[in-house]
Amino acid sequence: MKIPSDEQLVAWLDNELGAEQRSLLEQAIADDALLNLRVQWLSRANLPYQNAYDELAQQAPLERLQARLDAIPSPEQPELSRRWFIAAAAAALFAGGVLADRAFLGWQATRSNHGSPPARSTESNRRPTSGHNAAPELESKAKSLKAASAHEQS
Amino acid sequence: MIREVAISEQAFRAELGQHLARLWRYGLLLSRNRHVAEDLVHATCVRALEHAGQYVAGTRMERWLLGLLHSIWISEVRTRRVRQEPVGNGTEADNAFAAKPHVMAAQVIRRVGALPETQRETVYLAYVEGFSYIEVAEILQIPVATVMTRLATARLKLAEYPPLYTVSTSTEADHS
Repeated sequence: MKIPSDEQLVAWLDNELGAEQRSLLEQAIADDALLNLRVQWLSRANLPYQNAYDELAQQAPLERLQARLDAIPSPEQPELSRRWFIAAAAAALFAGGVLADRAFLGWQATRSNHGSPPARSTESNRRPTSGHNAAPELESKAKSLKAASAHEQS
Repeated sequence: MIREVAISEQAFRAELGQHLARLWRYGLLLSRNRHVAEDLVHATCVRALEHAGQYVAGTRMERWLLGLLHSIWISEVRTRRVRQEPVGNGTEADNAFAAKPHVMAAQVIRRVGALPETQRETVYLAYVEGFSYIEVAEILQIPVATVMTRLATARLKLAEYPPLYTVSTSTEADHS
């Protein structure tokens, strides 16, 4: 093993090496008195860090920090959820309209099916029917959407 | 649905409250200023609440929070150019232990505090918080090799000091 770097020695001191590397390094340290001294020098930096900073933490202005934390408003903005609600309502209205439309068309189709071949009649009947009947339906949808957006802006 | 969200935010805030002292001492280590440390904790709390969805429940929250605080500190340094005050000239870091000095603890904190910022934060996360090299690298957003280099350099500087137990109060001029 070539001479280990300080980084490797520190990693060994910090128990961050894999088993194989660790045993290689331990062998190298055992064989080399100077390397051993280097490790001892680096280990002089082993200080009671945790105790020291635990004592420091006791000086934290906890009451003030907690008060400031409590004063932070909930990040869930009410405006945002209101918008979401309106969008959901508009979507529901639209979906409802589509369903009503479909139901109406279905009912129309079954009514006009009497006396004509079903395969062609559904094709030919649907377009004019939907064009005719969907108009007021769409108009009312547009109105409710407009109302919703007006409400949102107010 | 609304109830569930409210409860989980409450729980989130409660857990956040458990880490305030920890965040504060890290903020103090970085900024060397008690007021800045306090503001850093506050800013970290605000950001944590905003990004609560990013926190993976069940993982160590302090790691996530320390990373948030660190990135806030870095952006503060870059945008507002908060100056590092020189160490050892009656800065607030020196007064950090004025209230209740425990000589040994004060010495340790003084020595770590004298390191440059990059080494200071790395030593703190590895040796005070006890994070692994990989965890430290994640928090600081640096390669593991950089963590190792910083620790080795810091250790060489810390090794220069006389051993703690031989130091009398008067020679290192700690607050008695």
